[in-house]
Amino acid sequence: MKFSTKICRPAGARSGMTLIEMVFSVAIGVVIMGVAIALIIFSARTFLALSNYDDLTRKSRFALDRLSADIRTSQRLFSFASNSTMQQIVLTNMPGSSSSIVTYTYARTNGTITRTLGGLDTVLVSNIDSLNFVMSTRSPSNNFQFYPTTNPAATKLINVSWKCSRPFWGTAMINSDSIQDAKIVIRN
Amino acid sequence: MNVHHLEMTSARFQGWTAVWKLTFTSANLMLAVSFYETLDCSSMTDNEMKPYAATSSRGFRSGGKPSLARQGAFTLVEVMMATIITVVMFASFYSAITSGVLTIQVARENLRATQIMVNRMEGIRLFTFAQLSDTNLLPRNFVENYYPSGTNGDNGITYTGIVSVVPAILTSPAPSYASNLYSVAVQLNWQSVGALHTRTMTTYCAKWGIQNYVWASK
Repeated sequence: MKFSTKICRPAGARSGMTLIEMVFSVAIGVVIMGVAIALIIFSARTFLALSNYDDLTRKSRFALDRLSADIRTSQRLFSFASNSTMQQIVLTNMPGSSSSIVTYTYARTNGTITRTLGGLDTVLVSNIDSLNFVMSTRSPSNNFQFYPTTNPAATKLINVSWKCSRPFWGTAMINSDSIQDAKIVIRN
Repeated sequence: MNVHHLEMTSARFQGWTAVWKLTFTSANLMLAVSFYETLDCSSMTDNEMKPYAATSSRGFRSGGKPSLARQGAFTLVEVMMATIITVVMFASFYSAITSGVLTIQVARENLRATQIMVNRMEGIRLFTFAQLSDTNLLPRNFVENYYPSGTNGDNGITYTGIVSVVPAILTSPAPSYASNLYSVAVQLNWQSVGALHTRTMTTYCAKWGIQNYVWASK
């Protein structure tokens, strides 16, 4: 008679887990999964917010640069209109003529700024929550203020400011908005 | 009939159960019988453990006692190290994201600061040379907010600005045009992310410079 040194462990012969082990395992698993899910959600919201901010800022900066260039190189403000649905400024390089004008229109309902030149509309930026054009004369007043005017011919300074944001999961998020504020002087 | 072979085919160390297989042979007939033995290793001596210890290279210490470390579980040190590594990984990931967000926040504040300084400079274009010295028209200190049109006091961080208008030529002897040239600087300070930030923008304003040209053309 001899003893063999061979031994095997059939899978079915293994013992199971006790209830305590299961409870602890499930509890630890829930905690780990909760942390992982929270991290994923936090990361996704952060990256999306930063992506929104980058996209909004890029478009806003482009729009403001374009607007600044047009205002600075224009001869004067041709007209200005504001009502419940839109604000619009019309710039011209040839006073008295409508052949060389550029129009900037803010549509309140759509939240867009559209640049119109030669009949061609270009939407520069969207997702605008609020926009405001303020026209001023060239004369400064106290505390670095300028006298406001509604006369396009007397307008020398155009103050434009807008705020745009992009909601995420139904709510607006911090870091997901862009503020633009500029005083632009008509150079000519 | 002789007992030809006795073999331990399996041993469930967690349940302390050994399975024995007894084989009987006679001429052309072979009979195999398996039976189970429940072990109580805690009360067994080393000599009593030897047959079981010889059946496997695993599951028993050299002295014949069962080894818990050999049963596939983790030791306390292993669990602690794994926990520490996991915590460090999560903390590093959170820190990286937080650092990125703070970097973007500082960039946004810098951008807004640039807007405020450019606005000041743009307005200064409309000042005459004499008006630059008027502190009522051009206050030397001012305050701006990140959200100028914020509501319910939610205006974001506060920028405090300092405007300095000083003669631009400070050499000695001063040139003849020294009194006709100002150096105008706008400095902004704001507190954010636990630090004081400062940005400055400087330009020159000449008495017979562009503002006089603009004024004369109108």
